[in-house]
Amino acid sequence: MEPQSTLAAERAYDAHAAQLYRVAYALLQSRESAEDAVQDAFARYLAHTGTFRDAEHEKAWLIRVTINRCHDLQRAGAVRAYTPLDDLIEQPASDNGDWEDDRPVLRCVLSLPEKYRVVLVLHSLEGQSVDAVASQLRLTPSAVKMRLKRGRELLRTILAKEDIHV
Amino acid sequence: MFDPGTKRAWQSITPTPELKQRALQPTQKKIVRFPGGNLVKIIGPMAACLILVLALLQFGGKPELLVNGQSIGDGLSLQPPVAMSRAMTQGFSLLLETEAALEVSGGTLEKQDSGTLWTVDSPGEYTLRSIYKNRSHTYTLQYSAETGLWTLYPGE
Repeated sequence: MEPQSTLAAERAYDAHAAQLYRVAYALLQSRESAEDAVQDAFARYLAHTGTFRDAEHEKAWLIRVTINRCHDLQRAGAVRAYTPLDDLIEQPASDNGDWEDDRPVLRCVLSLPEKYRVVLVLHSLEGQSVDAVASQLRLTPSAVKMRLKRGRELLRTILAKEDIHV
Repeated sequence: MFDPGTKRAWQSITPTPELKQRALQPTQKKIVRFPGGNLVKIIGPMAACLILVLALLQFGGKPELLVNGQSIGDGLSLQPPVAMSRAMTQGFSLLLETEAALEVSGGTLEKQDSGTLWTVDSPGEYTLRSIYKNRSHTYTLQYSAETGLWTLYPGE
């Protein structure tokens, strides 16, 4: 089996890197460490000798590797400096008025326990199906649905405490 | 759950352009060769088994402690709720999941269905002790005004 070609890696990077980076940031909340995790995921991709059934399989593999790498960094206490969300989200030039209200909601999402945070990010913010998230996290679809339900309930409680309306 | 503006704000988060170059740089697989040839082949696995047994003796029986669903490892940084960032005088809550009995130096412990909720009233330094099979393990919870993060780490 041959490792993945640089061309395939570039195509995969263009297709998935931004999403992998956001998932890594949701876990680590550090810009530098999120980039490290994505870089490591692609290093493993380049060395990977297996074949991917389709684009979804490839994406699920990359997300799993990125999440595992994030956990490695957390376990090793190697997560670098915390990056506030405000440093990553810039106000667009054509501000339509609702932009300022989005960041407090996202901050509350990032304050959720990890198991709820990850499924909410993948499903509700990244727009992936329950089945896709289940495949990426190696969970059953019903487990993903349960985490989504509990995560949403917890988020609503936090939003109410913070007096944030969505 | 989220309006389009929130999703748009989230999806506007992208890595720096330099990451692409870093990520796609082909890496050479490192081959580490040990001196000693066959001796290393024989002693190496035995040493690995010994280290594994010692590690099991050292850490066996210590139940895992999960904090807000995450493993502590060498230390875990936790972001306070938004209100905490605004008002530094507010407290902080952690959901602890473990089989061990828990003791804390400050704040309150409240049993819940999913674990034990530890609530401290104000920023500072607190100690958490987990006791299991007559062995105790100590953790420290500390608030950093500099980073705005609560950190929980093993040890005092």
